[in-house]
Amino acid sequence: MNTWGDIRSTFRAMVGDPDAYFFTAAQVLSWANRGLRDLAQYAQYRDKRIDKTVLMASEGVNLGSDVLRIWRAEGTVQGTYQALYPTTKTHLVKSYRYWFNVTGTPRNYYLDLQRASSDTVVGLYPIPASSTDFYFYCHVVPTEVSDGDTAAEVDVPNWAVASVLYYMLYQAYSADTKLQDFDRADFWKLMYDRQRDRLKQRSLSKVIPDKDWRSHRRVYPDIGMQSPEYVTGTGP
Amino acid sequence: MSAIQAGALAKIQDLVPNRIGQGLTWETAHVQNLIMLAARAAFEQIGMHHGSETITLVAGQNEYTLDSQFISVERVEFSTVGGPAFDFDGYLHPITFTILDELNRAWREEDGVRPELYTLIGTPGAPNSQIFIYPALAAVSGQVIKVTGEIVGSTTTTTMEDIQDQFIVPYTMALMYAATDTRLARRYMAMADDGYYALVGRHADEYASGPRTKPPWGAVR
Repeated sequence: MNTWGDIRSTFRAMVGDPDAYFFTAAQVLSWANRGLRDLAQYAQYRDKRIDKTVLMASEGVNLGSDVLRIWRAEGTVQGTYQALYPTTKTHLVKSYRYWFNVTGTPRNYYLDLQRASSDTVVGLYPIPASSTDFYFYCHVVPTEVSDGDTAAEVDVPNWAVASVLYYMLYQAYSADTKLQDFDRADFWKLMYDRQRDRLKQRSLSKVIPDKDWRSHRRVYPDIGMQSPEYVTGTGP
Repeated sequence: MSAIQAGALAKIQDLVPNRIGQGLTWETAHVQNLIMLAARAAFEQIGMHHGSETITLVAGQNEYTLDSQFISVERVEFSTVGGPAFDFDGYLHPITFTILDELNRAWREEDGVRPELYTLIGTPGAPNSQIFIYPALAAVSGQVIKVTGEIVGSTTTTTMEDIQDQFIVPYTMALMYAATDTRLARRYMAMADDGYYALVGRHADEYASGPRTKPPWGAVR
């Protein structure tokens, strides 16, 4: 059950509304996409690399409206990609009064006081003296589901697909209809929160350190791969 | 041991006789869907099912898309030759971009004959999640990496009966009763939680002494 069509039909079956009498298609779709956005904002599981070429003298670069957080930036320095380091406009102002006139190879990026709309705009310091290529690694919002493409897989980890369903059920039983039932809404909110928390933990710790497995300390001599007749000694 | 969907359905039918089927309280297909929701929770929480994916490396490429069946990545191995005569003779170690920067700020420009390190972009299981290896290969002649980790099973994946009895069945019953009796649903979910604690230790620590390094999110388990 990975597709939007599967989730939608399961939802209808669970609320007993196969004919969309209580909940319209638009409502159900809206809840699903709200659930996806909430998961992405809370767990930040969806990563994306955005490649940009910034022209000379451009103060910043617009990464679009689906960026939740930038966690890494790289820019070409003498032809090689190297990490850029975050800074703030406040720090730049305090460091050098005329920082905005400095041009060169960008080594830092800043985000404060940049947002004028839903787009994420990254400021660069120094301002590029020539056209420069950048990689921006970001947490982004997931792709929304649509009734026009019910076969599309939901943009959430396979094992966490149920969380979208639980969010929809929570919203459905909270809505002001004859099916409203806050006790059921609370149950589905609990189920949703459990999955969301697990998704957050797995997203924060997605890279697991090497495990060094150990078995119980042997009591008898370790004969390894030798046949018994070649084992010598009487043990520890 | 039995296939998850068929085995759990039979157990649930025993608990609610004559109530699952066409025109009855619960449609069979609906219960089967709920069983697979519970099964996915079992795969993720208990960690009882492992699988691997072999990825053929491309010269100069660091990033490769991971199969969406993965829940976690536990081991990455490298083979200098492709199949069937693989020679997985080395592990790649997990690392972060920050540590790579500390090792060499121009690490992205390096390539080599054997990748040594890896990290992940995006949570495993998300569409378009990737594994990032370092260094990229300068030239290729069939080299592959094998990624092993916990995966999501299917309807025909077999599980031990106690996993179905202690977790999947009560979890499914909770989902079934949530529409009519939330008190009963919570009771079944509590039973599933008890089953989780009984089962997770056996699978997370396959050896009696367990691993030296536990996952950093061990508290979740």
